[in-house]
Amino acid sequence: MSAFFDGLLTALQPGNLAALLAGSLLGVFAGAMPGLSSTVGLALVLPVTFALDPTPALLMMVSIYMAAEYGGSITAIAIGVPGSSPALATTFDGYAMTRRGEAGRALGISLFSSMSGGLLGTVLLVLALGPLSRAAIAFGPAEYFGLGVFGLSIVANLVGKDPFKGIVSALLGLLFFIVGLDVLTGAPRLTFGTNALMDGLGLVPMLIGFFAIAEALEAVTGRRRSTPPGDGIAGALPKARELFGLWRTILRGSAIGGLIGAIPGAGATIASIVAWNEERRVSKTPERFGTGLPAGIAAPEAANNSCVGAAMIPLLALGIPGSASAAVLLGGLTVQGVAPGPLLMTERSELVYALYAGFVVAVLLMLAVGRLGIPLWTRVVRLRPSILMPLVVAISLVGTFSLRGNAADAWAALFFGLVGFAMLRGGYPLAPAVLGLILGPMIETNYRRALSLSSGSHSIFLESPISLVLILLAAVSFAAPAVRSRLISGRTRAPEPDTHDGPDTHDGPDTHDGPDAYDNEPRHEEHE
Amino acid sequence: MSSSSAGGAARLRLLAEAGVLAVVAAGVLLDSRSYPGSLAEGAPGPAFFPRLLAVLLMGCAAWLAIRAARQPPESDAGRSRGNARTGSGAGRGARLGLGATWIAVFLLVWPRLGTVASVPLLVAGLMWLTGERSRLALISVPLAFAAFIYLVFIVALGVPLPSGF
Repeated sequence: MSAFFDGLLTALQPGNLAALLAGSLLGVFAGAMPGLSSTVGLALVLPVTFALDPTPALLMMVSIYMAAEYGGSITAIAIGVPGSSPALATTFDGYAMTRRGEAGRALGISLFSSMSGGLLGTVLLVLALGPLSRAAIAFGPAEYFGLGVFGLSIVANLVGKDPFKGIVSALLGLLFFIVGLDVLTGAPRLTFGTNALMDGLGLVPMLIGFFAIAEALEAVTGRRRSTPPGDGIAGALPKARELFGLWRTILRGSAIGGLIGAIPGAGATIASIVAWNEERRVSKTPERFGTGLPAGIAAPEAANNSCVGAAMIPLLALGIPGSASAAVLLGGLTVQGVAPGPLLMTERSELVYALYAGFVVAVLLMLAVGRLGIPLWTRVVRLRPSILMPLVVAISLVGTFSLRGNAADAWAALFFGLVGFAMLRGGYPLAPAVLGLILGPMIETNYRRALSLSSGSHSIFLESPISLVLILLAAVSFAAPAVRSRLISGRTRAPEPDTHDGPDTHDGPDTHDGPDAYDNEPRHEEHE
Repeated sequence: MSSSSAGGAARLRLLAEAGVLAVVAAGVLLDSRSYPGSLAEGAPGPAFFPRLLAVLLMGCAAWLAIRAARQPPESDAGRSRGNARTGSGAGRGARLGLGATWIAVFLLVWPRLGTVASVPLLVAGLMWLTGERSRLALISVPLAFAAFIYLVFIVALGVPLPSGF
């Protein structure tokens, strides 16, 4: 304990505190800007850290990492465009609350949940560095395949009232990931001889296209977005009682984020989607998820911030980065002459304890920066759509370009914008496609690797207890919505035939609520 | 629009969706002929997954075609009301084309004109297309936004955005 307090004193030294504060500001900005992310924020600041001592350099980087996970929820809630991919699940309920005029409340819930998740993730990091590192390395191809299939089974909860269209959407998402070089053999797939497609289509252009450009095109086609109703900003913030009432949700989300975050390669995006889905599954009113439930924001936000601390476990203990952001962090550590691994605790214990304390201070600074920013963001959502949407498109395209300095990414975003627009018009939900693109690489690559290890025998997936449990959970998760709806329909009278399921009435399955926001008339809120 | 013609439109739409899926699936199958379906030791090759997806998409296309054949003529009446409410489809399609073209033009001229010169054009054009008619807003917002992009992305963060000629 005294070592932790020593670390705290180190983190609170003026130079280190300034590094943490700068990291928080940059992290919230990077997370909130569509196209940027914690990874880009870390990459941008990496050259700056070369000039710093190891402690402030590391503290600045963890502060960016932590704050960016919260920052992603700002635009997800304010304008329905996830600032970074881990905020995708936050869009489901967060943007629905904004449309009800509760942006301040949603942002407050997100901030509190992010803070709680960040703190719990740090506790997990401190307590479980050793045991979880050993568990994480037990994941081989069969287990990763099981995790990917389990993640994909969430599609069953995202498909709305036409499961068929949700499945088509997921298949298209899986197809999009195939574009580019095959990871295992280097064979170009669906590139049609174009060099620009060799790197693949990418998640960020897809998110930008689906959630920013498709929505802007909706605005251009004349569907007016009504400015969300709003009351006073102070009055719109959540009450303390409401925040603390979410403790079970936050604990569950943090636990899921902690477990998934500790698995190298799984990442905060999967953790937040799994957390949202689990919260929906345990809810007594799962059908209300996606219509603006506080728990639908708290669970994913707690999960993605909890992931930050958890991702440090394999990084510090084994030198294995748990995410792309952790990989950049690893680069920063290496430049500073810090070698992560089993000897780090003995050779550089003062740095490790300063890091633990730095996480706590970074979370508190994130709370302060986030709280001060809420009035600004609630004003942003009240901008006229004819001003807001063009700005969203422009900053999204600039952010997409910034990611890799590649104009092809911006073109891909336009392509996905048109595809997303067409899918929404046809009543095809967008979230399953995004999930397909995220999980496709994990599923395909590990399926093939596992079969390569087992000489083609599928028994490898059943011999591993972790893989078996995950596949069984996937089967349950996939079947549960159908069974539940059958049970419910058995108990209630058959509803009247729906004559409004065409795309123009917008009550088809639609995780992305964007176009609906352009309708001035009230509609039945639903979520897939 | 009468019920039967509305039903015909819905059937046509389902058939069009089926056609798109079938074309995509066929394209994937054709492309996957150029890479191996399986590797040594029984492991699936790079063609396995695309072919599996293509077959599933073909199945989906077939199911959409069946749904089109079963489409009752009156089921799309609500949709036709929706069209009447939101304006003509042709007008919306033209505006969609203009919006997408404007973004594409921006992407084409961006490397040549540079970020500071081209971003205001993108923003002003989209503002106009989304119905903004205030001259003050059409001039000041794009310029202020370009200044923001320049100061934050180029000066503060050092992001190498296109600088033009």
